[in-house]
Amino acid sequence: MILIGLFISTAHAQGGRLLATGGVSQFEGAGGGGLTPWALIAGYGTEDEIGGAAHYTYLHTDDYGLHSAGFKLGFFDRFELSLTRQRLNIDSDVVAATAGALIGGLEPILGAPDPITARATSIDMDIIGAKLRLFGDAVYAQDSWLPQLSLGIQHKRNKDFDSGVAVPYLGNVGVPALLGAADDTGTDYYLSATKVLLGVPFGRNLLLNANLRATKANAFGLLGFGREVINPLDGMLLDRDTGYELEFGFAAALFLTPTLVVGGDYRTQSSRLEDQPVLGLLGAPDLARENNAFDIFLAWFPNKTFALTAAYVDLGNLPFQPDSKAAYLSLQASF
Amino acid sequence: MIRILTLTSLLVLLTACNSVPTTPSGADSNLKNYDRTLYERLSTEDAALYDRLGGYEVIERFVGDGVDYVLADERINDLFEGVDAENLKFQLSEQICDLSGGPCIYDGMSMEESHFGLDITEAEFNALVEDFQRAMRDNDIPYGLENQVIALLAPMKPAIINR
Repeated sequence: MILIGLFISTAHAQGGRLLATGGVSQFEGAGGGGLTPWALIAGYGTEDEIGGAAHYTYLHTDDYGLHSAGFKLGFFDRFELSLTRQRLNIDSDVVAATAGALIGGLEPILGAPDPITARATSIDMDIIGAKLRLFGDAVYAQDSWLPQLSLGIQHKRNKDFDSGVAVPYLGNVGVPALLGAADDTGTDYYLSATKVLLGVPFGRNLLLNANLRATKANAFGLLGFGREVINPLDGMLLDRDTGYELEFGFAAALFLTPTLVVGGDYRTQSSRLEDQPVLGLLGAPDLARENNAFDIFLAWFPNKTFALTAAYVDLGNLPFQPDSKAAYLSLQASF
Repeated sequence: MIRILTLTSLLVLLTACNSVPTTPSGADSNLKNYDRTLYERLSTEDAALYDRLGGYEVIERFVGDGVDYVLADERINDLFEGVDAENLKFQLSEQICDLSGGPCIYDGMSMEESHFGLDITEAEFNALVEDFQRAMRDNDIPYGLENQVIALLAPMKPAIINR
């Protein structure tokens, strides 16, 4: 509440950094591109100022829709603090297909289930993020290849880990737990290195970003964290893996005009829930397989107050949707 | 002797690899206190930025407008109180001519000297950049050339702010 008050009270004072140098909001709420956080501190605050941004993003791909809304403050172009709520809407088709797989696998053992109507469900997740600029100046230090380097964390709490959807035999379950995730919370740690090349290529400004992330997340945490497979019939622990894995992200963004940026993101995923024995029994071992995600975006910065990003995102496999291509729209207000 | 030769051939090699459209030596200039910019290292242009901008007249014109915008800019014009505007325009034109590979050798004060004691903030520095971007756009300087001018000026930030 205090943060929101601060946000509103300082919102009238425009920060002193150059247009677009705070980036947009990536879908987990950090300052960056579409999928990956950048080393830049969000908002337009210089080393003497506090900046900030609020965003709303919607991504849609057939049976899935992801809302992301949040805000962040950038302190003295050094430290960024962000709060984001995500809501993944899951269509009733997916719930019906899940019920179908359970019935297919368990009916021979347990007999016909009580009838349940498949309803659409959703998974909510809160993300608290922080990012510290360690060294480097992405924009001005044009006489050096040394990038701007930032260290970040994203603490995620999945609110619908083990409840929220009714399925045959098992009753009220949560999608992440059902698919074999171990935990409802997880913390990602990342390093981002960003460099802007002014005047290259073709006189355009080019931003390059590399991101290294240690994570336990499945599908960015929307399907929980780690892997823990328990035989639903006898409660036996079949498999457990809650260690960190290293994932990579790359982004490039080219300024076509002073206000229009075209770019792309690439982000690898661990795919820890793939080849899961219980799902294997149900005949769907690859249900929660994760592919590396990529996007192509167009961002428009008409002024320092607003930015609009439209993107095409390829997420690969989602449960019961093996080839997920998404439309993405994000609005950011900043100061 | 061998070391000097090696160094010379290395320099020649580097120069050959990066046939750069800016100041050939930079050594005579009182201005450039930083390494070659990424733009200079990576550019494949064969004509000097100075020539592609259209020479001294064009530089003089957008610098003149830029200084006028700065003097009218309430965010920063108090920093320029009592400054001789015509001399400022001349010094800045000489700088950009020199940096962009034109036939000028800037012999004014170094950036550290000329901003000593002014305690210019990063926001004020950026305000000036914005005024000059506007001046270049108003003078129909193509966006690509504008970015190259900014690329050559950007590394001066540490020499200018918080002095």
